Amino acid sequence: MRVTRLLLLSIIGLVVLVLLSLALLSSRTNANGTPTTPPELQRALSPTGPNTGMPAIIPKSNAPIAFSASDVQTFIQTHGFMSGAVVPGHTLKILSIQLMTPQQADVQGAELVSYTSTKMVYVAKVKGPFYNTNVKTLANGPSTSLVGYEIFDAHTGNMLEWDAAQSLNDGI
Amino acid sequence: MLERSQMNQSDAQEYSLFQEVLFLVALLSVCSFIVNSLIGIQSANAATFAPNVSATLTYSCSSSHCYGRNEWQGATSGALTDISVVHLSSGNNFVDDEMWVAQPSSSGDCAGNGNFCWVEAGYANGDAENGEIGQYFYWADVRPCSCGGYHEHDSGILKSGDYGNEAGVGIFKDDSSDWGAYVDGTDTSVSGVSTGQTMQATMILIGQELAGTSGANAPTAHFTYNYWQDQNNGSWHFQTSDGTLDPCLDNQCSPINPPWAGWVANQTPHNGNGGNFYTCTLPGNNNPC
Repeated sequence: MRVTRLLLLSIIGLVVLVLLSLALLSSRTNANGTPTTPPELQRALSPTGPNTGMPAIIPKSNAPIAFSASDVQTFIQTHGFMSGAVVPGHTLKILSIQLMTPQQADVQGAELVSYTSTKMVYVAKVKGPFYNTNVKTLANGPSTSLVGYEIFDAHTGNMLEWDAAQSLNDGI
Repeated sequence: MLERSQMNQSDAQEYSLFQEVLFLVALLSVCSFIVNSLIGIQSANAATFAPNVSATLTYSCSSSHCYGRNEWQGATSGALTDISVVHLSSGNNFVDDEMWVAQPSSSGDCAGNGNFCWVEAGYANGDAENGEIGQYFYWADVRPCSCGGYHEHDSGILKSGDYGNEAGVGIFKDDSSDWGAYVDGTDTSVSGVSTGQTMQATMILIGQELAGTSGANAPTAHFTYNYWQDQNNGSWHFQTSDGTLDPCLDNQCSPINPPWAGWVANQTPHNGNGGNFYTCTLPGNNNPC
């Protein structure tokens, strides 16, 4: 009697453990053995809010083009280039400031497709060389960049992108 | 005789119950061990790294940036993590918490950037030549084309609601030449597409990057729910291997500076849910995270 009871209790305990384990596994995988989509993953894969860029130039109006190329020039001369300071012995030179659509900038290598509300941008090309102080690298790359770009929304004045490149012939 | 017999029977029953309990405890322990081993949630010692630095927070991370991070190797088409958003002080350059998805490559602009193509995303403080501009989300890339080198896209300055909460960070392949990237906080977000990005990613890294020489302060941030995406069928999986702590990249190996980084005890990836990684840059000779 006691042996039967002992065996019965043991079997019940084992069954409970197996059921708990299966429940734990099924919460992680579906019938194909691939993970289900837990809440944190669903949130991660959902669309994010609108992209506005970083506030930079203060617009002078509410017009579609709310400031001029001269304002871009003044901003860059005041704040320098985003990657870092100009290498001593050199001066920052603004090579060009062009007004264009985001699509035109993207053709030249920019990545503005996610700025869906932006109609026009100023693309400023500057020459250094500049230290790459603020370039967030994977591994140690070059310590300086010869040329850089800063792209501003022509309506909001926000900076949408900045690039640090090695060659004057590089695209945006 | 009768009383003695009853007493012996009672002793025998108590003895039997005691044996049963002992047997059940032993059986449950064995079963738990077997089951836990099967589903891979056995406990493990946490891997930590404590660089040898002085208590005054100066460091040498200018010409070569410093990192506290973890790397997983293997072909992948994406990665996700949740990073807790803490208040960073940049010191005289910048400090960030971020994730990279990358491929060793000498094509195009990758050749000039340590022979790596990558997409990265996270949050940072310190970026302007004329001082701190505040804390922001960003994503950036280097592509295998001659198209402008390093590109960075920043959000606006973070709002108060972003702090103390998680920011979801994702980098994943959209198609053969585009990768999506986003940082999704409580009040602020940034997202974009790394176009012309034809890298075949084989590396995922999470952790902290520090640039400058002094003054940074980065309280402990946590990286949780670390996922990787199977490039063959697009399914997402928790990281289950611990990867490599402070990997050598571009001939740069174990750092002698902050950031500190490691896995929270008993919360390594093979403990489940992708693990719980931490980073910090704080004063202290021993790991202050």
